[in-house]
Amino acid sequence: MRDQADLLQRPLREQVSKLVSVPLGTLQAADSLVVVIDALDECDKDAKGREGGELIPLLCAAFYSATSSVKLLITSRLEPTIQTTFEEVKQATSAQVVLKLHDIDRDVVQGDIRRYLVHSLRRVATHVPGLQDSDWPSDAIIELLVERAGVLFIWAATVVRFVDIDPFQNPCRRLDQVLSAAKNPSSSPYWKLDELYLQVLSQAVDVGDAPRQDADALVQCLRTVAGTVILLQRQLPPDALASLTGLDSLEARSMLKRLSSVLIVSDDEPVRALHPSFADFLTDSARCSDSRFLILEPVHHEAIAVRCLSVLNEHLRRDICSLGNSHMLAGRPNPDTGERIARCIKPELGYSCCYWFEHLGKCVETSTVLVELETFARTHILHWLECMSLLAEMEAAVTGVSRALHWCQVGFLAFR
Amino acid sequence: VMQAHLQMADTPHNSVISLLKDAQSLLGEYYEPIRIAPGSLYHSALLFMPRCDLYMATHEDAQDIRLLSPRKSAWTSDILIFQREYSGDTRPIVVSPDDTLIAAVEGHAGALVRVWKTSTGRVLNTWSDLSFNGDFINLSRILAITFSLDGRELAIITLYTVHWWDPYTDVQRTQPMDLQLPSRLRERTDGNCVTARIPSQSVISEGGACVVVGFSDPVDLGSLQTVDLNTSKALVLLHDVAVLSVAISHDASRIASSLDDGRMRIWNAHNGDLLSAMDGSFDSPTVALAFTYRHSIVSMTVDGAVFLLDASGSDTPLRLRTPPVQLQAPEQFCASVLLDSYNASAISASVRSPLLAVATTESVSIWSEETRMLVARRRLYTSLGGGCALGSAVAFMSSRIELVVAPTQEPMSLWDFQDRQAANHGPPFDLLGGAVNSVSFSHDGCYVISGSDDPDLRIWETTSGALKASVQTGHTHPVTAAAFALPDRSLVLSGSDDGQVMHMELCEAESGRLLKHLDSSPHWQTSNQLIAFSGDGSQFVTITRYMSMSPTVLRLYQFSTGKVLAEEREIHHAKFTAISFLPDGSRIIAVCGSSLMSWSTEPPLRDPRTMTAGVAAHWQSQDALFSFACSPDSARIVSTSPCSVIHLWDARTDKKIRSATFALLGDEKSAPLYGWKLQHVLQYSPTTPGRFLSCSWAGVVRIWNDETLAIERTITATELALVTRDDISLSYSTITACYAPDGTKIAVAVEFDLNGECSNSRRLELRVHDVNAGHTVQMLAPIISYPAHEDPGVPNPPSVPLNMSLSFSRENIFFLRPGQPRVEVWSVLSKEHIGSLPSPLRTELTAFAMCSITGRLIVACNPKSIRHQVTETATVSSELVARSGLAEYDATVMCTSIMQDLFDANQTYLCVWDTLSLQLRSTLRIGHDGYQPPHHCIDQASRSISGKLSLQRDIVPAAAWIPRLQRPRFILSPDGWLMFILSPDSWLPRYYRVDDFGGEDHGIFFPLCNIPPNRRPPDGALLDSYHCPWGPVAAHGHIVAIGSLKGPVTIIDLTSLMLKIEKEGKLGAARV
Repeated sequence: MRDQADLLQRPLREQVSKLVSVPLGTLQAADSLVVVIDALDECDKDAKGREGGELIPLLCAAFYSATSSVKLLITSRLEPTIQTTFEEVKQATSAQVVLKLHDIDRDVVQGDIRRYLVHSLRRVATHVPGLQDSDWPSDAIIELLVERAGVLFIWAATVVRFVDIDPFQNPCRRLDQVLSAAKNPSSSPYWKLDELYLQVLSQAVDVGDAPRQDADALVQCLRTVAGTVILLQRQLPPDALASLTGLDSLEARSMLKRLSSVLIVSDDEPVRALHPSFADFLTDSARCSDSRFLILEPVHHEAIAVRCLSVLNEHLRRDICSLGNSHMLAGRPNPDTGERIARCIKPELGYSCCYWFEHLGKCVETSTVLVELETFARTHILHWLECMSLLAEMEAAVTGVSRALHWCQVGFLAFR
Repeated sequence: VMQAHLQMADTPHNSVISLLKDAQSLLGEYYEPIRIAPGSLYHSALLFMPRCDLYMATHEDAQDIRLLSPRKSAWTSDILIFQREYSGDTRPIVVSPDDTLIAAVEGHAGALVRVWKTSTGRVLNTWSDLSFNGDFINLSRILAITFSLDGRELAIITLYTVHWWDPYTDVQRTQPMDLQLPSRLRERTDGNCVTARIPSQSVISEGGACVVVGFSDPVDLGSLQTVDLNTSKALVLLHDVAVLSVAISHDASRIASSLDDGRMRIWNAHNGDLLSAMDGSFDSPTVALAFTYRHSIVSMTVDGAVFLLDASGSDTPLRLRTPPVQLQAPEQFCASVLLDSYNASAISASVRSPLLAVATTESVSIWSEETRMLVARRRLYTSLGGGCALGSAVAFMSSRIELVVAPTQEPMSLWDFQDRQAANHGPPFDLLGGAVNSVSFSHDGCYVISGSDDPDLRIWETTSGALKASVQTGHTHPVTAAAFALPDRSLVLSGSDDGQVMHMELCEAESGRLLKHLDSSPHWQTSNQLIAFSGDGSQFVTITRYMSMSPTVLRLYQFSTGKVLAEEREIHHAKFTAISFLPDGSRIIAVCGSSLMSWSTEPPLRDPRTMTAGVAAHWQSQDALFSFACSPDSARIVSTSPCSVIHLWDARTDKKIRSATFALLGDEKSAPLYGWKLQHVLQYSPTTPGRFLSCSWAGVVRIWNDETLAIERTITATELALVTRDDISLSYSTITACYAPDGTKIAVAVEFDLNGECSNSRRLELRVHDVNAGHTVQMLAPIISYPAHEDPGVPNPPSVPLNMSLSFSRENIFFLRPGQPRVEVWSVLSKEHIGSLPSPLRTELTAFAMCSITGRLIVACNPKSIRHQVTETATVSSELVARSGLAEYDATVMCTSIMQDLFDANQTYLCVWDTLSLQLRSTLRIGHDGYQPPHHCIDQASRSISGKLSLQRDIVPAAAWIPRLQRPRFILSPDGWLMFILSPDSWLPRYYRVDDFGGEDHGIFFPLCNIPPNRRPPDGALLDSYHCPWGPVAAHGHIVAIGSLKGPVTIIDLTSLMLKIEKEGKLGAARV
């Protein structure tokens, strides 16, 4: 990959050949190797809407022709599209073993989950004074949790994070909250997980006896933060994320902390959801039964677009990196310039520059976004282009202008 | 209320849309400069933006910039110009389904396949030949090309195979697919009849599902082959007449074919059923066909008429409800369309909208299918007149509304025909072929004249870029020089260079009538040439001898016209070593051997008067050391001879007034070589009349009175030396002297060998002699000692005296010993050695020159190996500076060009210092593109002098004489603070701040306007010219015109940028 920097932009066939087939060819016949591909269902869809629909046949062919003893282990949810893909592959290559987890003996899975829960919760207990020497959690509680988890490992993992969220809160109480949640069985395969997510979110906005306005504000805050995290085109570190939510930095960070059982948050790392199912849950009205937490994508994209534009309108200026007369970027590598660009163009500004039009393109038209867009167009287009040039994103600038133009024209026509 | 509401809602929308559109145009026009240099957005892009909404909204960023020429009123309608070489036709064009790529087959016979990115217009890939597994794929056999549905593969369909290529690389994706040709064709192949089957036209359906090829076959009298690319299934449809053109509908369900006799057929593409046969619908054969997205058929006949035929019915057989409707153009739609296998690309129908575009030889027209009205029309400016009328190609973008237009001889561009009323824009320029070799302004700056590869001169208006006139000349070779000869622009001068001889013609501008064939002598190509300018710069004189045994020719030129005022042949067979005008310009003085020769500048040159000093012949070999000086009032000439004789001449009569023999002093007497006794410096006092100084190599300075020719004062090296006589060996001392600007002081530098302990070192001392007080009043210290033998080029004792450089400004004295890396500076006031001029160079400097007019700049150079030539050149340049009365920056320009031309083979530097602040103003490293022998360099240098000099003058036509060189050009802005460099490998002119250390590149500069050579509209986009080497330059005040070898003439306003720089507060006060 070092030799060919653009390899990831190349056609899949070439990528597989260079990255898989060639290395496989160097293996000795005696070598044995197991390659694991996890979560195929999260893979990009091909033109026919199949997850990894182009990749899997290529991969299988590559492995099939390998001389040495190589095993390929693919894990996935059992989407019908994926099944189709494998049916096709099956015809082309040798026999394959499909291991359906839900067909596996429930006891085996639950045994694994039990082991995980015992191990993790005991570790939690060692941090909490008074629990170190107790036998918390009791076997009864563990059994309850295992039963509740069913075969969903993510449920168990989320429970552990939920319990471990705050060293000053009593883990016993939080565990009780989980267990006391109303049992509301539904036909959805994810209902247990959804229920747990709801539990986590409710807990995050729990303000005890505080006035109703505060509670509403907190819910609003949660929705803004969670919506921003799941709808961003590129994950951002907490500070940059906070400024894109438009919330006070402390407020946003505290909300991130409240959500840390479902989000991965650390100081300088990009914030992301623990599991993609969280995003699905939040945006699917069928799954997210509490309308307080439901994220309506166009509305939220609009909010992000407004924030992006106002970040642009606020920060963009001429000669943003104070490069003065040194206008040349190409062909004159100056070690300072790159560092200065990184310093002067903060992540949130860089993000706004590169993605405002993406959010704009997905949002409904409101007067707020129009006002921001007009300010931007009137005062900052040149500054934005300068910034895009500094970020070496000029092609994105071309796309951005035409995308924004398209959005305006279509929106305008629709209005008429 | 509703209406009012609508209007209110419109406002922000419309303004945002129009601003975004402006941004889009800005990106289309300036993408590359912005990518390279974001700061150029404000300096240049904003400056030259048309008066659009974006400009109005943001021009406060540039409110201190004044644009002198009228601002363009609107963007061009071309969103984007595609990078393209004129290698022939660009047909057919295909657009990828996601609009990101465009591919085309280029060349008359399909010589190469090229892929562009639609976002930037840059070429992504070009294949001039394709081969697979060693088998060469003949690109001239390409029937069609298309993109796969995901846009990641490009299918190239030849007669027998389909090749899938990765458009991003030149990697072939998979095995080529063989077209399953019908058995009939196979038989033909086996029977060697395949050459007789000529594919007349081929098209491919949307998404590449099906390819249709029409054949005209002498045996079968025409057939249609359709091949389904997914299944390789082929279908043959037979005709009784040769097939002229074919079309396939977007959904690959129907095929239309037109026949040689004017009939048309519509077929079912799946089973080959004949749906409809149209006989007698058209008068003349149809050469291009296309289905619209509503299954109508648009067709163009060979005489250019366009018909729309509603074939959308679903009946079987298809019953056409209406006869074909001829689409009306507002004016005579005259076109002749050649029968051509790529005619299919002359018609394009949009996939998403009821629009159809038709390209002919002369225009591109877009009709609405619904209203059958013309939506937009654009004239093309194809320069191929007469019989070769090839059509142009058009293609709609897949999801956008724009149209790709590829005329045969113009840039391929993305045309937004909806918004901008671009129909019929631009004047119908006369055709113009080839490179622009020369540009030059008229005397008032209002017009530009250009000369190009064809014999016509063209005159353009500076402000609008409009072509005003063409002047036909009789040149048979490319015109390399063009200029207005008189201020009223009634005469034009042109030059043509056939590689041997420069032909010049003077013509009347209006009638083109040849007045005079001016000059056909090869004087620009000579091996020995001297040039000098008169004091007012109006004339210059050359002495030429281009082979050692050929006669020497002297010519006097009128500078403004380049006309030879007078000529003198066979004047002398000896080599001339110096030439000069008298300060008043009345006479020309030249040194030849031991003689001074003089001519009156009143033509015709009268017989030269020779002022022979009467010296023994063997001294002629030393003639380079012979020198002379003219008095400031031009009345007298003083000359030295190798003997201890000095002559005084009356400059008006050339009579010798008197001679004087003077006694050689001790060191001169004992000098080891006779040359050391020579007086090598003669300088008249700038203030005191009748006084001049002489200086011998062997360490004696004398001050003379030219009335009596008596020595008024003698300053010997002994007198100057700080050390005692015993310690030094004065025999080998060298000395140089010069007057201070006010004439009250003389600076003297003396260098000598030290005896005794330090016998291996040489020592330099510098003194200032007060002329009035009559003694050496200032002793400048310290002394610099050089280890002997440190420079292998200067043997010790030296056989050739050192040609030291010494200059005296008001406050400081500057000294350079050849071979040293520093110019040393002494302060006259403090009597101290201040130090050396800060130099970034570690290598040796050999010469410098100070402008005698302003006394501000010193130019030193590092020529490395070619020392000899430098010494000469530096003399020439200081001579020129002194005599031509140019401002200081001219010295920079001249020396720059000299250095550049002289030292092509080496890395050469030019340093410019301010003699007041002693600060280095700039260092320029000058690049090269190959070695050239030194004697050739000298010629180039003298040519450049004549050319570059004109840059800063009011009258500029001599600029046209700059030869067509593939190397950088230099322009200095009017106030001397900015330097522009044009080079063949650079897309845009770069500018440098002269006062900046290191000559750092400050950016690129956008032209004010382009004058289109290829009959392009005046607001034609710039992008195309980026890829052309810059050609000749001319300047008129602050406006510079640049020709390019391929593209347009560009005009740059230097003032605007100047104001910009001033605003940043770094200059201003320091200005001279």
